[in-house]
Amino acid sequence: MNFTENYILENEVVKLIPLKNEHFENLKEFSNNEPDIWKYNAFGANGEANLKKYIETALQNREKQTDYPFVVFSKKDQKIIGSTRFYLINNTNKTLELGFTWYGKKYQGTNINKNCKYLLLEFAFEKLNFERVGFRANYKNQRSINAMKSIGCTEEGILRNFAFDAEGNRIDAIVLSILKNEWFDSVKNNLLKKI
Amino acid sequence: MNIRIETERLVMRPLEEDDVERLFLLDSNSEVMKYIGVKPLTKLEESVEVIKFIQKQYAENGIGRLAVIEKESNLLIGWSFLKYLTEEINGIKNVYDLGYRFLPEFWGKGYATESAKASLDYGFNVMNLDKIYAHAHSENAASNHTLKKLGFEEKGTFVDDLDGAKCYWYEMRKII
Repeated sequence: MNFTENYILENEVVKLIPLKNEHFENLKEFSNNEPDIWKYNAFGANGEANLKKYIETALQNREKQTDYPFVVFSKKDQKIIGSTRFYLINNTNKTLELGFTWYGKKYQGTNINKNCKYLLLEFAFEKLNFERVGFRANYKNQRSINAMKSIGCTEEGILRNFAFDAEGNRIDAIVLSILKNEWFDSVKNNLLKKI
Repeated sequence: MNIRIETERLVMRPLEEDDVERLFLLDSNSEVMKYIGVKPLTKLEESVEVIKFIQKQYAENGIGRLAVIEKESNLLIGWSFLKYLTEEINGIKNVYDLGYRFLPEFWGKGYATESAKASLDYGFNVMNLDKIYAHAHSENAASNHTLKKLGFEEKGTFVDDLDGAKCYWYEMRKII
């Protein structure tokens, strides 16, 4: 992964654009109106002050070459409706984690997530030639876990007392992953399902 | 499986290894694949796999999509026919589904309708099925129009597992 390059990933449904400071203006309506998007996570973007910090941290981590954050643009709605991120990027091991993903409430459970995940996984495995994409979630966030499993992730285990949620309670984190060969197999199977 | 169907302008017969190049032409076309939910193919070997997969269906289910040959040109122009659904779509499986896919240069000639009518006739009158299903991406106006024109009844929408797209679900009952 080249951190100085501006990668734009897009298909018919969504366009993933590298996060910039200016996106504060696009994202603040969600921070103000739908703060419980982040109820399962500490360091969420609930409220404008937290959103500012959230963007700052993400951009600092891109400079430190550990994270690569995007905003999600919905083509149908012609607006930015969420954000997602590669993090713990390791060019030597060819591994990264995919997370810090959130969408406005109206866009949850739509085809937005599938299309984003598809573009990000395709990029990680087929462009970057990486070997493993990991995912973590609050063990209580069933919606998020189901979404990951539905894109072909395998559950690896539970990290006990690993982090905390928006209220400061300690939480267990579930770890899932998808490997390069699993990605290519699933792409092939998807193709065959459509005949 | 040895099904061969002839209509006024078309011949429908099982897919063979030799069809690989024409099939690849079809499945690597971005216009064709726009509403399918998978990317256009980029490697000929993928079409080899596709043919093997369909031949496996012929062997296991006694049925599967057929190659459609245009009599006038003697070219494979797409596929059409019934498939036995062994994997759930819209929560339903172990039923028969009508489907078709054609190269863009053969669109607008009524070939989907012509091959679909022959397929439905085969399903209802030769196989004696009570019901045949179909589905199409909600934005694929041409296909939705064809299915309705054939007499399919829209039975709501569902979300495609693979790409999350909204699809219409259709049913047709045998008219006695």
